[in-house]
This record gives sequence, structure tokens and C-alpha cells, in this order.
Amino acid sequence: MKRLLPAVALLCFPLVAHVGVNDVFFEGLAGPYPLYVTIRPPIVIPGIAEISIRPAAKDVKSIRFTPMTLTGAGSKYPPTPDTAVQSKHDPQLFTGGLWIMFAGAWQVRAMVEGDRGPGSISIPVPAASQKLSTMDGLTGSILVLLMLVLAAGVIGIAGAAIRESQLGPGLKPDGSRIRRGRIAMAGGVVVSMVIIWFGRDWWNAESREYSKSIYKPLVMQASLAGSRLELQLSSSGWLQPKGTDDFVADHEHLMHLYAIREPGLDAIFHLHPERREAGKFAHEMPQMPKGKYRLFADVVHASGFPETMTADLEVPQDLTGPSSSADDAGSVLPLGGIADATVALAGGGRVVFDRPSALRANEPTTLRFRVFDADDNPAPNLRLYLGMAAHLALVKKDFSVFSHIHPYGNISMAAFDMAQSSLLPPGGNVLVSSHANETDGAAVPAEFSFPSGFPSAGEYRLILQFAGPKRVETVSFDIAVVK
Amino acid sequence: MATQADVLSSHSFAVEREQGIPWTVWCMALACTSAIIGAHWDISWHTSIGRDNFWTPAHVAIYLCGLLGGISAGWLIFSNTFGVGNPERNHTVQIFGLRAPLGAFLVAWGGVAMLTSAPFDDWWHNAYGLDVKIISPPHVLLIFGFLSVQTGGLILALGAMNRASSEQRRRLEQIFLYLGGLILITMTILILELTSRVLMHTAWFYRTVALSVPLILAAMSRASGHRWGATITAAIYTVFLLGFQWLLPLFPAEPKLGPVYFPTTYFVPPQFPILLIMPALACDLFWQRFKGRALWFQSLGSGLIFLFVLMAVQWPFANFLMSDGAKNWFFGSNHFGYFVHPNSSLRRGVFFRPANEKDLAGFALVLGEAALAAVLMSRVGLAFGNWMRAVRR
Repeated sequence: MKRLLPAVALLCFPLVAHVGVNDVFFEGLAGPYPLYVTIRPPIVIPGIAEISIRPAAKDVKSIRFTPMTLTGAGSKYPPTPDTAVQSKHDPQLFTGGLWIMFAGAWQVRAMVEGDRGPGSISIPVPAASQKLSTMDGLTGSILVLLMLVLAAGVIGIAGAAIRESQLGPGLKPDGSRIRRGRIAMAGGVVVSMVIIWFGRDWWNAESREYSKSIYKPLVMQASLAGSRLELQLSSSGWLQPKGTDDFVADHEHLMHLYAIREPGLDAIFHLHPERREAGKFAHEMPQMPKGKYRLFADVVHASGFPETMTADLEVPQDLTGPSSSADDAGSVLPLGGIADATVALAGGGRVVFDRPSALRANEPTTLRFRVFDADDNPAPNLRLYLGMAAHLALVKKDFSVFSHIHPYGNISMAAFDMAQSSLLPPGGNVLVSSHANETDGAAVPAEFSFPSGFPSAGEYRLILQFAGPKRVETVSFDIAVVK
Repeated sequence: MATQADVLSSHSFAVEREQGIPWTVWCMALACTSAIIGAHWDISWHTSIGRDNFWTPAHVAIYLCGLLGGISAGWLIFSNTFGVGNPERNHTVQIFGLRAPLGAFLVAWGGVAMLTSAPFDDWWHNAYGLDVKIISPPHVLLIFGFLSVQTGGLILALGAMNRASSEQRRRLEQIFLYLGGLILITMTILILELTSRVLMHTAWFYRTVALSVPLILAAMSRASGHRWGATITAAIYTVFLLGFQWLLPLFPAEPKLGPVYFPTTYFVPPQFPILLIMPALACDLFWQRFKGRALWFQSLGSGLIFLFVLMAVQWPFANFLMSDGAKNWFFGSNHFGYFVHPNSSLRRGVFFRPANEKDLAGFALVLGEAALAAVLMSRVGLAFGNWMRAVRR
């Protein structure tokens, strides 16, 4: 049966919105209830997304959820919500599954009932088919066996139908009928072969058609003209239409670009190229050392569908800057090791990483960092950086995984704002803005937590960025994730 | 080798036993009815609720077909293969050492095909996503299996009918025509996605119907020997479809998949049945008039008549179905699946026109293909019907 399948069997690394990360991790408030939400979108579309929700408080009685598109007509017509199943062994865990019927920008709306009344939150979920499967040997063997039985049945029935079915009771077929029966059986062989041949072609055609729906991010080509970075975006040919000039601002910029030097990940820059014309971005590079860089560019389409494009960039000589964006930040790092829990800041003070005892692949976790000043007190004068308390880039050392996350999780904040808009009546204001929520005058706390997860075992680097009193700090920690 | 005396003796015994309808024939009629109800219920489930699981009532009704078919075929194969003294063995065929009536083997084949489609479909879902269309390789295997079970039931009834005395033959003929009507319903399920009312002003629609329906009508008419065989077969299709259309909306349902473009509160039924009964009636009249003529002549005449009458009644009727006048419980044009977009042709009541039928030449070409298909399928149906008339086992 395997022969009936196309030989293609690939696992695409560039998953939606991030690289190598398909799951959505979110931490936020549904009304008065803090929730930790993990959504595992299906690998193939249409498919079932697995949802698990863990409220921080014990007064949550029930949670219902429903899927909708993030924007467009579908965002106005939610289906009847499902009630999440509360675990008998862990009453703080609510789980369920939701059908995602087509690729694109979706949202999962969670409606919580508890002692403090109702609360709702909508979490953006980008969904797209990720891979083309091949059939395992056992299933293939069983189906081949059954196919042979069916073919034998066709041949046997054809022979019997011509040879005996019209005979009177008890009569035996004569030579002519036996001969015609054999011809019919030969016809059965031909018919079976034709059906199998046609079926194989049909299956291959379906598979080819499906392969067009497997997600491919926009293509990005990077070049350097002096100290000016130029980025050219173009369609990847993915079946779903995506523009190269329909981006919306996320954290005040249309594009967030991470440049990470290979192979040691020892120079890291968070840059913000500006749109020059349709499909073209450019940027005056900051002071940065020469070398080969891997680029990861985050953008969000007007539909709320986020993407991370990748490219390579050769910087032939040290660049002297200055950068064209005041929001750029980065550093050539004095790196911590796998066991380090503390990194000293250049201006005094330190950052402490509360290392989890063990990090396992595909398990949701929370990564916590604390910032102390030179006197070892919680740093008092932290500022927002691009509207957020902190940013964390999670990079696997072989570059097969990249994810840019925030204290809300690994969702796009622009998409998150769109999702909250759908909770409001027409004409209403956004309830929770990613920026408004943290710019209401309150001091930025000296402790950051990031809901996250790791898609595979291996060595990762965590790149933390936050704004101190005088400058944006960039520090990193190495971690090992086991299976 | 059986002697003539043995043959006559066992035949007399069998005739005596055949005063009633064999339970296996009843069982197959029940199995096929259950499957048809389950299939339309399942389609309605997907149109109204959207998602399902293995144990929905609609699925159970379909599985019941496999179970009842398996019991019937299993019993017939077992009792005739190992029951050496069983007089029913005289009415059996032999395949790979097993003995049973031909219909039992068709039922068994259909059961294996349906069984095969289960792991195949499960893998298909995991590889290419959950169901979004009816016509996929595992689904077609399932429908072929289903058709084989139905055809097996039909042949089982046919064999008994062709051996029966006049009174028993009349009752078996009724069952035979009933099963033929169910096969016609199955065929219309297979072409469901291609026969929406928005397509009824395309030659494409008429080609699709011509490829699938005349074969069944011709075969049923000829095999049953009934002068109104095709009309009765089409009438059974019409009655079932009207039943689904009028009964399903009485039961509540709500969409559990999004986006919900049409917030239905009940089980959405199939659209009003295609007016197949009119061309079937015309074909029966033609066959009665030209019964003794060559098969090719009969095929040519009945095929063209089928297409002409179908177009003559369905084309204007489609205008009505698309109008506000049909948006009521009787004609059912007010029913929409939850996923039907407000801007879709169906919701707006606008006929769809494919690119290759934009001009008259393109339309005429496809219509010519429809005429050819109707003639050829009628020819195959008449030949198959003639063959079935002689089936005794």
C-alpha cells in the first residue's frame, strides 16, 4: 500500500507564527479568573485542536469554549460552545477538543463560570496543515490483504455469476458455461486491476492536492547594502492567499526581526525594519559584529494570521551603526552556561532564572525571571519595552525552533487584540489591549513569567529582553530539554 | 452428479418451503432500509451539527446494515457450504469452495469492503484531515460496499422471485422493486454534491444524473418484468426523500462547528427530490410500446426520452425551487446547512454556471455528453436487467 502513496514524507519546520512550535501557550485573565491555557492545533486541517485550561483559583465551576475565525464573517457566528471536562484526578484541569475546519487565523473563546461570576477570554490560534503522512507498515499490510480479498471476491463472484447463477435447481454447469465463467473471471481480474490503478491515481492526486495546503511561510530574501539591510518578501505558493503588504502593527512595529549569529548564537539583535514599499522592508543596522546571521522576522497579517519568515544574512565586516530604530536592542553576549541561574548586568544588578527542575518536551511550563538592582533589591525602575514588561526569544541551538514570546504567551499580541474585539458588542472598545494593559501608569514589576513549552528535546537558548532605567538589557540562559 | 429424480425431488421440496418469503430476504430489506435512513441522517447530522463520533445513532443505523447483512450472508454461506443435505444447496453457486446464493456472496463482499473502509478512512482522516467531502477514496469504497450489500439483497430477492410461484413472486417482486428504489437513493447520495439546485440549470447536472440514474431504472424495469418498474423505483426514491425532508426538521439540532453562517435549530433535510418519477414514467411508457425492438433501439429511445423529460420538468421546477415560493416546509428551500455562507449561490438563490458552459457551444457539448451517457447507461441497464431476469440462484 505504501507504493500507492507519494514518496513525499516531510515534516515542515516552519510552523505557523513561530518556527518549529505548533502549540499555543497563553496566560491571562478571563474576567476575574487567571487561566493558563494550552492549545494544540491539529497537524492536519480539518482536525481537532486539543485544549487544556488550568485556572489559578479553585472557585471555577465550569468552562465552556468555542472556535471561531479571528476576523471576517465567521468571527460573528460562534457555534454552540462545548463544556470542558473537569479532571477527576486534578480538579484544576479542564480539557476538551475543538474542530478546526480550515486553515487560517482562528480564535478559541473560553467562557468561565465561578463563584465570582462569569468571565470570558478569546485566544488567537493560527491553524494550518503541517505535514504529509505516510502509512505505517501494519496498517498498510492489513489494507493490502483486504484489497487482495476484495479483488479475489470480484473475480470469484464474476465467475460464479456467469457460470452458475442462471442454472435451474441442482443442475451442473456445462462446458460452455464453465468456459464463459473463466472468461468472466479474467474480466474480473482486469476490472480489479483497473479499479486499483484508478484508485492509486486518484489517491495520488488527492495527496498532491493536499500537499499544496501544507503551510509554507512567506519567502524572505535578505541582502546588505553597506549597513542597510534590505528585505524582499514574496509568496511561497501556499494554497491559502497571503499578502506581502497587509501587515498590521504588533508592539508598535510591522516587523520584529531577530538576527542571531551562527553557529554560537553569541550575537543577538532585536530589530525593527520599516516598510519601504509593497513587499519590501529596509533597516539601517546597528553596531554589530561581522559573521553569518540567521534572521527570524515576525509579522501579522490583517486577518490576524501571524508568520515568522526566515533568511540567512552574511555580514562581511563589523558594522558601526547607528540603527535607524530607537527600539532596536541586542548585544554580543557574555553568555551563561547550562547550569547558570544568574547573569550579571553590565550596569550593576543581576537577572535570576528560576530554573525548573526538569524541562520535558511537549509539556507546558512557565519560565520565570527576577531582576535585582546593584543592592540586590528587586529592580525598582524598570520600563516597558515595546509595550511589554519583557520579551523572550526561545531558540533551539540547531535553529530548528524559534519562538518570540511575552508574559501572555506565544500568541501575537495584535491578533490577541483582534480576538478581544470580537468579545464586544459592535462599536465597543477593546477590553484588553496588549499595550494599554501595561501602560496604565503602574510600575513594571521586576519579575517576569512566560507561559511556554518546547516542541522537542535538545539544547535551547533563552534570550530575555527588558528595559532597565537607562537601556534595554539583553541576557541569555541555556537550558536542556529532555524527552 | 445429481440424478434427474433427485433434482425434481429436491426442487419440489424447495417449492413447498418457498411459500413464505425467506427470512434472509426480509433481513436484507431491513438492513438496506436501516442503511438508507442512517446515511441520510448522517448527512443531515453533518449539515446541522457538524461533528460526530463513532457512536452517533446515524452511524449505528449504518452499522446495523452491516450486522444484518453479515448475519444473512453468514448464515447462507455456512448452512449451504456445510449443510450437505440442505435442499437449498440446489439454488447456490460455488466460489472458492464455499456455497451460497450469488446474492449472499455480494453481501459478504460488500461487508468486507465496508470493513476495509473503516481503517482506511481513519488513516485518511489522520493524513488529510477530517471529512469535508463525501467523495474520497475510503468513502467511495464504503459506498461501493454499501451498494454491493444492497445489490446482494436485490439478487437474493431476485433469485427467489425467479424461482417462485405466482403469488409468492408478486410479493418478492414488491420487495425487489423496493430494494431497487433504495439502490437509486444510494446512487443519488453518491452524486449529492453535484446535484444541488443551484446546478439545475447546467448541462453538468443533467450529465451527472444521466450517468447514474438510467442504468438503475432500466435494470429494475427489465429485471422485475413489471410494466411500471422504473416508475415504482423512482416513486420509492421520491417517497423516501420527501419523508426525510418533512420529518428531519421536526427534530432539534444545533451547530457544534464554526463558523455558523446559518444558525439552524433543527436537523437540516436533503433538498426536494429530483423529479425522476417523470422521466421514469416516460421510459416505462416507451418500453411498453417498443418492448420487442432491438436493445439498442430501446436504449436510444429511452435514454433520449429520459434526458428530454428530465430537462423539461426539472429546469422550470428549479426556477421555482430557487424562489421564495419554495421556502416552506413542503418544498424545503428554506433549509440550509450551518456552513452555507450568506453570499453563497444557494443562500442568494442564484444559479451557478460553470466556466465551460458560459456560451451555448460549451453548454451544448456537455449536454451532448449527457445524451450519450443516458443512452449508454440505458443500454447497460437493459442488458443487466435481461441478465438478472434469468438469475435463479
